[in-house]
Amino acid sequence: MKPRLPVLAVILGAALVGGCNTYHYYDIDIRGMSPVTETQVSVMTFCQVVVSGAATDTIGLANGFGCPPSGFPDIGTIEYATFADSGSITFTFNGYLTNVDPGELCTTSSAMLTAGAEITQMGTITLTQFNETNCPPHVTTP
Amino acid sequence: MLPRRKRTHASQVGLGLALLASVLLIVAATPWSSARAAEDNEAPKAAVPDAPQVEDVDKPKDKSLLAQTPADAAVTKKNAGGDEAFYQKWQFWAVTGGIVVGAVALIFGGRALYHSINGGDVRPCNPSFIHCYGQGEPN
Repeated sequence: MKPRLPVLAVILGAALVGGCNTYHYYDIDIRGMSPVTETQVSVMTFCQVVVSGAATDTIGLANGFGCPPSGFPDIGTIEYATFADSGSITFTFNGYLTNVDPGELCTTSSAMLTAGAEITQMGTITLTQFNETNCPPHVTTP
Repeated sequence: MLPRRKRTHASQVGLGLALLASVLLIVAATPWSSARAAEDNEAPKAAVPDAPQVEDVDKPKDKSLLAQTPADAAVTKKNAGGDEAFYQKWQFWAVTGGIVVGAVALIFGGRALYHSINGGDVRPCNPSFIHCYGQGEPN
């Protein structure tokens, strides 16, 4: 009977460790690239990062947290934490004029990463197109 | 003139009985009579000196009978232990303390283990980032 005790302890420990959640971090850098200009992105006052796939979430960026962008071409980096460790995870950036409305969508771009054992993964969302019809640039009067 | 009543035998017996009862009553009621003497005899009986209350007259004179035997010592020891209330025994407090400490350790340890199994604390957000989001983040 005694030799079985260590085996049971190992099985129990393995079950506990196997059942543990581990944070995985996705650092997503959002950048603008030509032909998108700083003037164009500056009209965006509300932005969103939609997480889909292995994790699901909707992150609003506003009031200086990413929108309107405080830098260009590097708009900034967000970090997303999740327990997901398998499958693909997609981060989609949507920049709006003022509200979440398809008619006010200025720019959108995505980055897809594969969730795995890595604790931290880096990704980049590059904005390469801008809809000036939905989001006309500010007109400055001399 | 009325005729003199003739005494019957029955009336003579009743008269005799009444006289006898009167004599007995007088004898019993008189202080110096022999009937009272019986009560007087009780007084000297009370004059016998009383034994002191603290003195145990039943106590045997033989000292060997008073000496404790091993069996008496065992009974005395057992009774001495039995007189203690349960909360006066150190074993009670040792067990109680163990239970309390164990319960507290179990609660805190369980919480820590549960928290650890559920990922523990999320790492601090890099201040150079716009913000951090997702599971474990305060948002």
